[in-house]
Amino acid sequence: MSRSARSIVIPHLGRVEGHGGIFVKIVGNTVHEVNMDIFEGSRYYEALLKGKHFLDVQGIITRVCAICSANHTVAALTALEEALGIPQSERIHTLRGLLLLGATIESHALHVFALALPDFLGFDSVISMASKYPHEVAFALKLKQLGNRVQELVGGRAIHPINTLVGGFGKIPRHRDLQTLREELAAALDPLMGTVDLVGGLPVPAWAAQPTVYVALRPYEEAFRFRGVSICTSRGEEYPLGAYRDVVREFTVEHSHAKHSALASGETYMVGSLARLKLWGHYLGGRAREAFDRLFPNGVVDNILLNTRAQLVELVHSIERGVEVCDELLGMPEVERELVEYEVRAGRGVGAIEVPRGTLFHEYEIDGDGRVLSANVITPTAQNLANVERDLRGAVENLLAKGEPMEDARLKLNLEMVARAYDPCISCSVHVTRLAGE
Amino acid sequence: MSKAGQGVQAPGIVPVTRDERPRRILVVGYGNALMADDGAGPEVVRRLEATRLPPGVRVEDGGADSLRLPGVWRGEAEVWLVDAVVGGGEPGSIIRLGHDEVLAVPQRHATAHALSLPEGLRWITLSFPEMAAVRYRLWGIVVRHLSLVSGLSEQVGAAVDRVVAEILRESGRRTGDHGP
Repeated sequence: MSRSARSIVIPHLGRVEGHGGIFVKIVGNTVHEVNMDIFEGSRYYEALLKGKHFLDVQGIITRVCAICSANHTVAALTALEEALGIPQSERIHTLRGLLLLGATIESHALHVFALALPDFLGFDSVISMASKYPHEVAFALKLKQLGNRVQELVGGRAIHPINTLVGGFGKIPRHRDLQTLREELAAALDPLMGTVDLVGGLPVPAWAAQPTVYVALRPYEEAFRFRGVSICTSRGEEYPLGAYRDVVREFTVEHSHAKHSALASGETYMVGSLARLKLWGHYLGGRAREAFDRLFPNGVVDNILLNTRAQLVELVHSIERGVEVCDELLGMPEVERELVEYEVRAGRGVGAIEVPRGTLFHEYEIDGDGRVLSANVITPTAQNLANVERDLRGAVENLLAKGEPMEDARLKLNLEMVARAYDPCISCSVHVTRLAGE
Repeated sequence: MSKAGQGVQAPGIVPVTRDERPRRILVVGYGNALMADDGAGPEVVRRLEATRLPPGVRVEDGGADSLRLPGVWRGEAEVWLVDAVVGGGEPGSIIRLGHDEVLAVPQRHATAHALSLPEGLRWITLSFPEMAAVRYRLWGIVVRHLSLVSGLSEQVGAAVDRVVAEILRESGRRTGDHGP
């Protein structure tokens, strides 16, 4: 058997958010090394927040990333309000839910159609895809715009919301604007279901299949929701949100600016759409249920390349749920603003929510003057990176095991597909490493 | 043929109400003010906003997402874009591209975070037929450095001055308003 060595280097991973690359070293038919190199610069946001007043946290942490800005905002506010003992009214809870749905619509529309689908359809970009799928390409951008519109209406801005406040909202959307949004969301469902048929007909390669542990939050009610009350694994374990540091063990790796994560057992795991469907897919209803049955006829199986299908199911759900949430808000009396009064006090709070790429954790401790003593943010991508490397290794091993010669270009594309399937947001995942002795 | 793409309202198309003057030019500055010279585009917008713009000319800060353009467009016949660029000349030099040149710039690597401005415009043109007649111009300012700090380099700051002056002069010429 040949013992020749080859290195597969993808210096810059295309069609993902942020800057990262892949390095694989193969000797003979054995994978010796797999690294997902994250060379995006460290963001230092957690360190930046120390000493800041809690009212400044949102404006700073939301700038970790543009695509994920609404998600970081809601997680931060949730954590701060827990620290301060501020309850959420039904309207505030519902509106924040709508904001998260808008962020999911935007993010999943972009990833499914512009970043992942070209791989499955054999195109190198969404633009070249338009030559054969013009309606789908046009529709994808309109869906993204729709997600932006939701965030603009609720958050005051499509990126980096400004209407979201500790204790509530500066301005509550007017009924006529909610009605317009509701109609736009409802109108998007039929054309979106058309894309479910397209995606459902695409083969999913088996070489990426790997046994996987999934983690997601238990929804706060018995329905498919993006906010939850505890951390659950696909092995049946369940933990309170406040114990997240005992569940998610972060560690640094030499080849990456981003930390990696594993469970206390040392196992890597996956968070994201596939994880949510694995654990809570049985809660889906309506058109989302139809999409799930079409795209997962045998249930959720362990293959990261199915994450794109899972995102499409969640896209259908988010639009359907968006219509429902608009109806809930339209059923409430119209008010100008809603802001709960509170007193500043020392405290610690955790905000954990499900965002497009998986479970996001924010934790803050503040002193009696409202100054931040410590901040901790663990993003979905940071949690997934170790599993990405594991899946990359498994994919290469599966492909090599076939015994067929495979040129580097083909292998590179397959590796990129695996990494892209996670929809990594590399910008969010980069945090400063704590210095020894600090 | 899939039914996808039909039936979704195109956002951003707002009828002219209080101001009945024809909307001629939208100037959009793209970039991140927290990333050193990447803030060139927003800085151009900030300075233009502080001046008296010719009638029919409007400015917007496009942030870092070129795909939001349909959401800020209000029917202008021309969209002038300002963005930081890497390479193509000495720091602070200005690359000026006309409509056809902007749309012909190839995508170097396709990433969502940095979906190139020309790639974003091509996608917009495909998706929003009502914007198909829009004419684009680009002022690209070559950066000196990009890092997580606020503030422009001296060279890029000087280039911003020149771009602001050019945009005011040319938009005035277009609209027949040559300023005070």
